[in-house]
Amino acid sequence: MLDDRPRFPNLRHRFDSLACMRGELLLFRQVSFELAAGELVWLKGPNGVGKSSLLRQLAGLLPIEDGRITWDSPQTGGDKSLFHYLGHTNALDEDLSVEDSLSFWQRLYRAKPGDMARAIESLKLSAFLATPCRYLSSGQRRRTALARLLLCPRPVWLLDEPLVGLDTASIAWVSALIAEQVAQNGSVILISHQEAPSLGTQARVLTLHPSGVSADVSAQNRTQNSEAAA
Amino acid sequence: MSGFLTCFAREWHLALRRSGDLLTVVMFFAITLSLFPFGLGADKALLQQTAPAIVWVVAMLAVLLNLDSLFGRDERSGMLDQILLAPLMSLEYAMAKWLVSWLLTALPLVVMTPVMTLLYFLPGPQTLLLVLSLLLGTPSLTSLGLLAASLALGARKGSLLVPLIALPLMIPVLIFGVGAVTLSQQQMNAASAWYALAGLACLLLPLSLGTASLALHHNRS
Repeated sequence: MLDDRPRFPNLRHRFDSLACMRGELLLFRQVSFELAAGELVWLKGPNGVGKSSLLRQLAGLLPIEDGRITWDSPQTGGDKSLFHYLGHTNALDEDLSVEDSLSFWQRLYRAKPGDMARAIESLKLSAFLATPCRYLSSGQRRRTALARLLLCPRPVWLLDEPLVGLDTASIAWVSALIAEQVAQNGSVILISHQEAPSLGTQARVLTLHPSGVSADVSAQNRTQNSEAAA
Repeated sequence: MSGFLTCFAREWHLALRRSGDLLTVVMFFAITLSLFPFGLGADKALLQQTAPAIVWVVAMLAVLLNLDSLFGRDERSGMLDQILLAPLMSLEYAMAKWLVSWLLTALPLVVMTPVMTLLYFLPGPQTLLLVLSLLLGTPSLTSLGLLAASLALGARKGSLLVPLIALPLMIPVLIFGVGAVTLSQQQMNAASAWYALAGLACLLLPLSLGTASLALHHNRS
């Protein structure tokens, strides 16, 4: 499954002293970290600390109050073709079928038919391909939204609670997809309150608080150890 | 260009699936227009004289009916975020919205006008003039509606804001639209009104599409 897919180049993205205001409220400031190729960053922190806002800032959907986002972008397509963003909302048209929704994205991304088939297969969508999105369960909606990430390979995934509403089996598939993205030398920034045991071990955990991010030392040691072992 | 076609196909399919929304606009137009003859009475001269203005104002209001959902639905579903992140110019997305909105909301009103003017005893040639003025004027109404919908995006009372932004801006279109018909009716030189109507359409289309595509990017907080 891994060999026919492209390996992403060694990119290194930098985020320097980011700050975020929501209305009059300063959510956080001095948030700096790097995202390297082949790295899974698990962003943690209590509700309302601004994890989703940070992810939206990185995606360019929310203005940054202060700081600098430096995407390491080798290709000419610019930042937008560098990452996939999955937000709280699933970005599905209630009146279109799953297949129509996916083929809309397939055409926009100019995806290969092979990638479409792979997306459908990886997230087991074939049972409800012809169903209009309004009749899907929340887990099925989430899976359809996740399928969009597979339509066109991109080095960075920004995932905001991708596991919400998924059953145990689906969590395992999605975890495997995230692990595969990392194995392809891609990078993932993940926000999730749900435990994904298979991902916990390879993630670099960053905890967001109002005055910056701090690394979970034990997790960092683990990655360093595993790098040293490799 | 392929982005425009892809967006157009999506908008077209969605609009046809939501045919109830389209039917609401057409029914609003038909019912409102049929109320005036009841209110004004069977004074043939009065009805003929007021028909162009009434049809124009009701068409303006009908065009406003679905504007809240024009971008609002995509915003609520998260689709707008993904569109803005997609390899696509937001201008192409706005163009597709405009075209589908004009074809499926405004054009049916123009087509229905000859039927509705029967209630106003409007003679054939004058009905033709009215249809022509609507054909030239509705693109401007759709442009201004799209502009207002994009500016009101993200506002808490967006559905109330849209008519408040759009209606005052539509006044010039209304003046020249009705003017073109009544001046031609009275055998006066109406060329300037017709030119102004066409000029407004040419001016407002690029202006509103450009502003809307910028507004979509800026109203994302």
